[in-house]
Amino acid sequence: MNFSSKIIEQAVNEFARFPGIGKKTAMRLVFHLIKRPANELEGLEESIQRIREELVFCSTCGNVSDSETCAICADRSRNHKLICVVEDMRDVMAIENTSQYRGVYHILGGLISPIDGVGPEDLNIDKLEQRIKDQEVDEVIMALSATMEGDTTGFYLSRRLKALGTKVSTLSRGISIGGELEYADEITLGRSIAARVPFD
Amino acid sequence: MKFQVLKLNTFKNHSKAQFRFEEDIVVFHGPNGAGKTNVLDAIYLLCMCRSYFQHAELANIQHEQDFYAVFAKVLFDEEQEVACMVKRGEGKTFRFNKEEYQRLSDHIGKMPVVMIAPGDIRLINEYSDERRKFMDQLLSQTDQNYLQELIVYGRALEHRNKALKQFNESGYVDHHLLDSLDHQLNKAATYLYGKRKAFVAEFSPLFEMHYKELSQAKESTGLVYESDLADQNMEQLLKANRSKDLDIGRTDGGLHKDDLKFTLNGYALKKFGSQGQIKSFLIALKLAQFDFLKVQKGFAPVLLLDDIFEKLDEQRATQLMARVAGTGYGQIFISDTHPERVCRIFETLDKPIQLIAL
Ligand SMILES: [Zn+2]
Repeated sequence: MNFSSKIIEQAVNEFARFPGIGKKTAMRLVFHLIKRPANELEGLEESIQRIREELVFCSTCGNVSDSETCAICADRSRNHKLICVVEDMRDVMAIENTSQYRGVYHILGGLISPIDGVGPEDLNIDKLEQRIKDQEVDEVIMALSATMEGDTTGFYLSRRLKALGTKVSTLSRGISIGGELEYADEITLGRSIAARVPFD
Repeated sequence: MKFQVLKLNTFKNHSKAQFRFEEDIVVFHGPNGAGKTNVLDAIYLLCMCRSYFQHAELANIQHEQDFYAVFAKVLFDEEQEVACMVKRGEGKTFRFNKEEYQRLSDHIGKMPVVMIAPGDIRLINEYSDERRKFMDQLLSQTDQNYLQELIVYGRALEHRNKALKQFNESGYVDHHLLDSLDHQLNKAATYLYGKRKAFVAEFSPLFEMHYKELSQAKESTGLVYESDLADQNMEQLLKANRSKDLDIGRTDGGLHKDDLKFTLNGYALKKFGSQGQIKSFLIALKLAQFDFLKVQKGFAPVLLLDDIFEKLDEQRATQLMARVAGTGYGQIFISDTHPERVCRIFETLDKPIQLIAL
């Protein structure tokens, strides 16, 4: 692509780094930006800056948060002896949308995938063990995607957590094989949490 | 299933080509280099989502072009359009009835196909991966789960090898992680092993029948499925091999080492078979492949015969043609440099053919 402006070229390249965004879409987004009034761009600038500067990870569950303890972990009306283990914040949102779950969460930050250089030590697992020891947790629910990597991670965690004497369960699989949690519909997801089964 | 129309766009040596098929037996003829094999390969590609001959997709694109497209109208209960396009830098898109597949594996098995080509001798001469590929290609066409599990197995094996290599280098071993990967491999391997074993049992009699008919000889043939999993499951095997695997930094034994041994009167075909016996063996394998697919699918696969006169003597070729021109076969595409030969054979068989010059 030939750009008349280095500034535009750089902006297009930056957008094109987002997942699912090709050069063409990146160009559309940049042209859209050029046409918007200046105050709208300020709003965008501000939110990017706040993501960079203010967003933190909850020191308990690892979810993104505005403060050191996220709103879910801070909510005393939730059951803190029931922990749902998920891959990332999108899964928390999906499960919260079902309104079926009143426990708390633990965000791993990924799935075990040695090919991609992600081992257990790269995930938020040690802190989960610590939480289980400190808080006398009754049950841990694995809500990981039904992919081979999701299964491997679930199996791995169940091995480590069962050694701590915790009950480990997993979603009953209404979720299609290879499907990611994020894409499961609310009713199916809600049902599969309610009808969870012990991890074998 | 019948191909009605085939269009090629900058596919290998064909800049633009279109064919309409009017008979069940279609013969492409022309000098070497006219692109006969490429036309058969295009048909194969539309059935299996990849080339029979070319492992690098981009090699199918002409030099000065940045894409290729292959398109066909195929009659099932009704006419469907099948299209495959590969663009440099963008990869492959595959459409059936104008809808793009999310996963190419969803297409495999919709249009069963058998190719017989001069290079098939690899099946006998080369390493075991050729024979696993033979089983896998067949079973993928008859069992959707098979291909999924095969993909899972391959990926889990890659994970395990990567982990073993890391543990080997760092000296620290996370046994929980190996347990978890062994568990995944075991699930997939158990399924795949069961399918392969059942396949060989079902396939062998089909094969023997064809071999007897082709060779008209009394030698006994054998197809023997050899697997590390014959007397233990994958998890037990991996557990027993773990310390060795850690030493070498990869997974030594398992389903990925399976083989299909070919024997003649109990001896290895590769070593003791005559040229003629080996040729008959190969053709019998392919015809059995055809029968197996037909039984599983309930309709005849497309049969592609590429340059078979190259490797077969006229007597064997005639035998083969007589077989496939008979009842039970469907659409057949043949490539040959000398059309007279094929015409003569089909004339004696009293079977109409369509000749297409390239
Ligand atoms: Zn939290």
